[in-house]
Amino acid sequence: MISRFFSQSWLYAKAANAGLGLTEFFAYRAGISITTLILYVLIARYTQGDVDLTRWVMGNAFALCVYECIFGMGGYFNAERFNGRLRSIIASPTSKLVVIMSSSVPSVIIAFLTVTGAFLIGGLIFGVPFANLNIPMFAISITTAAFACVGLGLLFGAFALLTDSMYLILNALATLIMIFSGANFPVSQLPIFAQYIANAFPLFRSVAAGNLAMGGSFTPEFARLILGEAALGAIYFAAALALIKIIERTAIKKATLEMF
Amino acid sequence: MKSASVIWTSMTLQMKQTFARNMFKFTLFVGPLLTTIVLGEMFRFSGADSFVAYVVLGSGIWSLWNSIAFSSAGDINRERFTNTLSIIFSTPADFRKILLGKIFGNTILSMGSFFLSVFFAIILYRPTIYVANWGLLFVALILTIAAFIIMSIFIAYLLTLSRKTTIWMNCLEVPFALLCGFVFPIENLPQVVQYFSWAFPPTWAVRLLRYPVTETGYTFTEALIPLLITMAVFALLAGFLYKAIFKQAKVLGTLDMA
Repeated sequence: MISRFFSQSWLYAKAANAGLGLTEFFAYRAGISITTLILYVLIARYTQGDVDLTRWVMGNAFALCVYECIFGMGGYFNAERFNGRLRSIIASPTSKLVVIMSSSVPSVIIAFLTVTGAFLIGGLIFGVPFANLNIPMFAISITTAAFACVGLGLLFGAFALLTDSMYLILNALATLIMIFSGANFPVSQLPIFAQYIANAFPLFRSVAAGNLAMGGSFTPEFARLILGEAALGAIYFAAALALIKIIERTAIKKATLEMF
Repeated sequence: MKSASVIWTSMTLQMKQTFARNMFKFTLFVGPLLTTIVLGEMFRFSGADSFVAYVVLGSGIWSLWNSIAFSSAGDINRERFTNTLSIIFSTPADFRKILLGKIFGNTILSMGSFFLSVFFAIILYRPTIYVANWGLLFVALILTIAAFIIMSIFIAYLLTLSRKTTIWMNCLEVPFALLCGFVFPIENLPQVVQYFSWAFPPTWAVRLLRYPVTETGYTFTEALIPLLITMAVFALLAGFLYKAIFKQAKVLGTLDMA
């Protein structure tokens, strides 16, 4: 059972990346991430002047989870439908949770590597004091961020069974996550209602937790942020599963599973 | 007259098809609003004295770039996906005119995202807008559009032979915003990188566009001459590229497969 879980994960990762040559893989996976981080940190440097840019490097590195987790997982059902595998997944007696979880493992790993790599490169460019970094806290923060983002990606990915506007939804979602994450400006600048909404978005807590990893130690505040983010991720996964079940039933009843 | 008819037909068809796509609705309406919010909040309490140049115009230029670059590059991919790329390539009507019509269509629609970004920035942040010379601003806007059209043609040709158009066009968005200084002055980049920036028409186009609202940095003429030179260079390069693509497509017969 466990080996089948990981073999499915491996297959999913291969299917998502096998079409890319080495140059394309690095341009797509690393190039976009690094340039995006550099762009936003340079804007921060221009607007804030000569200040310590660690907070922006950290925040924007975390924001890169969005590319893999939201677009990758959000497009999961779209991709399965395109490849003609959706009906097999729906008809199969295998637990949908297992299918979903196995497909999310590569996204979490790729997101972890992307964030770490971008933080290291961005840190070298913008002079982040790595000596102050608490590595276990940093690693926990990234993993939790990726978990929550994958959960939200899957939740919205389920809408692919109902609508053909997935790219519109996912692009809007990705930018909203960036706005509510506090990566580029404090969320306290936004109106009060938007600050409440930020609590329901991934990265809001994990970016704060990542910032605590700079020169910090495990504190109740760090634990609160991480547990909050993990709980949010778990809620997204549960909601995604429930939604898939409802949509699956509707789609079977109305024969709309492969309509788009 | 016949050429104008090809361009017109291609343009109108393109506009109808593009407007029907949900992704374009994001690029046109949702994207500009969200980009403006991100930039506006980053600049709001910063004390940087260039809110109009880098948020109002910057978000507009960025949205314009996204719309034009993504649509023009993506169109080649869509034609390939629907098996019509080889047809429009080999039809008696010149492929270049068909593509030009598509790009004109995209540009007209993309102007919507530019003006919406400007509108959102003004409504949300109510900046004090001072324009020294509206005439110069209008001329600068026309030249900016022309520069972006030339870049679109160049990119569309460049990606015609690639099957990974989606990947490459995603790779183009942010680097150009970074290199060409859409949202901050390129003087913030290392000197070596600035040399690359100078090679692209959008760098000079945004400088030209900013001059009437900031009256600092490069003067209108100082930006205009390099803009015209780089536009001419990229137009020439696009011409050479087309010849190379045409030859390769005919010799190898891999246009649909590439």
